[in-house]
Amino acid sequence: MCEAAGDDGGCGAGTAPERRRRAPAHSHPRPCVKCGQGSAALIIRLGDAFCRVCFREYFVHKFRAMLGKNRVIFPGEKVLLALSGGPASSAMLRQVQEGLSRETAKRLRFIPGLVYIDEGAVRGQSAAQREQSLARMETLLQATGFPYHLAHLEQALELPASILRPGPGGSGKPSPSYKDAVEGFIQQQRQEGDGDGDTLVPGLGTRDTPVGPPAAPRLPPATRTQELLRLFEAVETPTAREELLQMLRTHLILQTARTRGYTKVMTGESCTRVAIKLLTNLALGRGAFLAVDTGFVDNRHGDVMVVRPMRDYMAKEIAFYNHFFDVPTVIVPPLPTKRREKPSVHRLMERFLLGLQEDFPSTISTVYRYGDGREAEAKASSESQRCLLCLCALDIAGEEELALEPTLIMEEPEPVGNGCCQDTPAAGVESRAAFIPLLCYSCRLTFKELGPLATLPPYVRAEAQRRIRRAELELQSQEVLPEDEEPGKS
Amino acid sequence: MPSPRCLRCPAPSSLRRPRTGETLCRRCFVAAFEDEAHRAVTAAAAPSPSSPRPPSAPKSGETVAVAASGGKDSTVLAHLLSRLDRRHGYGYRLMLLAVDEGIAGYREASLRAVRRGRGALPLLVVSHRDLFGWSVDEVGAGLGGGSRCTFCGVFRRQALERGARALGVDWIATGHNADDIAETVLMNFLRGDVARLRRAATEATGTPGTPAGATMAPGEATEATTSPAGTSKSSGTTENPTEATKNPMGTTKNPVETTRSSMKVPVGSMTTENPMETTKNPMGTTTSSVETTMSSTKVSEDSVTTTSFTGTTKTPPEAATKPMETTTSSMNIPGGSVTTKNFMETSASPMETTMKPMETTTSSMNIPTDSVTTKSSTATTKNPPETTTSSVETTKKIPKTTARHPKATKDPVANQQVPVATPWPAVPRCKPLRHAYEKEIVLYAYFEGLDYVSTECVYAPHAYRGHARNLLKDLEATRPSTSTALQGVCPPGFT
Repeated sequence: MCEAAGDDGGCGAGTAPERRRRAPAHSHPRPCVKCGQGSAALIIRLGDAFCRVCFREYFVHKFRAMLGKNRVIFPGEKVLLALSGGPASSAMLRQVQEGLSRETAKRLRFIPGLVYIDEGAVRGQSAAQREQSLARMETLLQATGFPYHLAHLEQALELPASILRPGPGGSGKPSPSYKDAVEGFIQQQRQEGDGDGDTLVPGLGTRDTPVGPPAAPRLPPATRTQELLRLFEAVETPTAREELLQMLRTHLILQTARTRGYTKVMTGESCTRVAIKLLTNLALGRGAFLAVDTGFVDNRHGDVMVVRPMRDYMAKEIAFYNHFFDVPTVIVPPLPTKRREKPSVHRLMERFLLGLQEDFPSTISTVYRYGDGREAEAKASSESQRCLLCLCALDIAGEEELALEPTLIMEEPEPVGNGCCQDTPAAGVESRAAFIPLLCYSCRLTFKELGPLATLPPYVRAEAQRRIRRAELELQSQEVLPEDEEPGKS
Repeated sequence: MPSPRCLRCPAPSSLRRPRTGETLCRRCFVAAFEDEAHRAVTAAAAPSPSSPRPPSAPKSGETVAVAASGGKDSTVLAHLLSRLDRRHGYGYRLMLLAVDEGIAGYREASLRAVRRGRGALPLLVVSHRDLFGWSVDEVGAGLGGGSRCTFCGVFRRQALERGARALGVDWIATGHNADDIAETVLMNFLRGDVARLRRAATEATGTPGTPAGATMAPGEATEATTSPAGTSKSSGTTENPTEATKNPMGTTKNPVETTRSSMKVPVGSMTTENPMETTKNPMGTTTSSVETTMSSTKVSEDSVTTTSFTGTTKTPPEAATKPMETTTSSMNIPGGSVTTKNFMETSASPMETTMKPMETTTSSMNIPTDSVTTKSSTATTKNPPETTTSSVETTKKIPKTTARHPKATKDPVANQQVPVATPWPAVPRCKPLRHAYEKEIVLYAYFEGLDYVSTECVYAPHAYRGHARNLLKDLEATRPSTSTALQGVCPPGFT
């Protein structure tokens, strides 16, 4: 969002007059490098001038190429588009719309749905502001004609513990080859006669979540909001707060996808965003998961696959596209930090990378290219080897003891009577230190800053309890097992 | 508000450790810091069952050269290692190895600090002037206003390597701390340098790695790093004759080396080790790096980076028969204005000045020509000049082209004497402080009253590293554990 704002300002005011100033000799606009006829409207990449028509073609082609190259979205599949209202995800929505429209020769054949998570509560919006941006977002979603789902971040507190377990199937079962699936789909469509308009019909029909008038979306009860705010206020650092927000958001989207039967989720991270995320995650100790966190395919959840089709677009391209072709966006404020000098690692990295990009214009693409093509799936076999929070394979095994030390909780907070008013599952057994073995390196660091257990989302605590109990059981059975097994073996 | 109690004893605390967030008193902090260093050394020395890495720390009885710059890290490292060695009986034979790059306003003070603080440890100072024939300041003019850290770092590592060879040590211990390694990771990431990132990742865990890899401490991982090491390795492994032909050149230069070591090192400690080996080892590298300089001048013609090294290995026939010819010819090619690869950009201009070193190295041969055949031990006794650095230098320069030709005739003779050389593996390096936070090192040095200099290199502000460093400082202010988190980076496909 921030990078788009900069670009937007640049395209309107900054660049155009400057270019004119720089090259007064040939004041007539440069011809487009692609068609050679139209006059260039913008310069992308390293000085390639494109006219509007060619830019649009280029932009659309990139999206289709991304999907075509990766071949993970099967025809007829239900795909949930995660929208934030920001430039990148809005441009993504437009691409899907274009791809599904009749004019396009090769239509996209999946069935889209939209989801928007309202995070206004933690982003410092007042109730009125939240209503406002929700309403704006809803009109925007409605205009697409796709089924859409609205969720509030408060609903994350009601998530089931199962969200922290990888879903069944998905990664495990060998799916039919992409080609077979496409052919099967075409056959099926032929049998149904002219199936052309078919895919769009369900989209027009169902409008899932809000039944009421779109102008007045209901906000969740104030008590829930209070609870959510308590959770965020208990978090000690802005870095952990960002991570928590990301986690809750991901889980909410995942839950929506699972309950509504979507098998793919599309998120709109741009190349710029991916580069920032790569560096941020590196600094957060997530180096081992760079591929899962930023690659095209993120398969950690098993049944629902997250894909990132926008990761080839620079933020600048997206900003121009949205500007030229009137893609509507809704801007929501970022997490409030209340101070400037020590923001989150996320913010720091963003600022740093965008700053360096000014001096070294290939920085972002270099960093991004690093993460490109490095797509390895998390190789966790059993659930106990996955991180409780991020569901990545635990990376602790090969580490040196000294490197791990900072992740351990040194002083056990004295057992204050916290959380007494709440029905803590198996209260007393719960200790922060007990969580540590369930977490990956990075989530350990984050967890240490998440504040007291009492304010953690209930589903996290429930799942942690389950895993701790199971680990204990396993430990007990291991003590018993050798005796049982030995007679069997001999 | 009174300061909280130390977590380990009743004394009032005097600091909060960045590493763990513990509040500790002075004494407990020093104890904890030393204990961690001890664990870092022992954990690396013991082959761990989980990973099949070779042990990455010296074993008992081995000789360890601490790369001493006079700064906080190396000062603390030398202090720690000698103290821990006494306390836990590692059985190391410690010595100090310093490099004088010839940077005015920076190195003199730090070398003075090294001399002041060395205690009973033997010290060897190798200088770029002696090894390569120039100082960074001199070469710097040819580099223009840009950063010379890239280039300086490469040669410093080479100098360390040669110094270590001259000393005959088994290990080089460097003072890289957690922040340094994290910085390197960040920097390589920003530059998309996957190969080096992998190396930084493995080095972060203290693995010696491949010979070529180990030569490059990530401390100043720079664009050109691969080239010298790559050359020395490839030329060594691929074509033995090359090595053999190079050795004579080296052997001639040998006395200079040994002279230098005889200056400050208690001679016994190094020469007794393995007289033959030690004296010849440096040679291999010496010449190979001469080769390197030659090859890179060639590169400037061909404007090819990678192939040039295979080129080097193939050219030796020429170089073998008429080594002087090649040097002269390469001298004719003035560094050229090459802008092919990053390495070229930086090294092309130094080459102009490197021409001079070549002269000196070659010409230096004839000063002690007679001592070529004699073994190093005699060489050391023969050349006891105390301040050889300058005096030998000056004499060296007088005989130039004329003096070289006789050399060519002698070389084949020496050639036969030297058996087929095996590639010299790089002296393995270890980083016992790799888990120590920079802040804690400073605190430790302060508590222990260590004498170190903290002047920044005059060229440092130009380094690209500065970006990574500033970022890391910001990150650490936000979250102290960042440097460890970065160090632990080992993305898939990296191991």
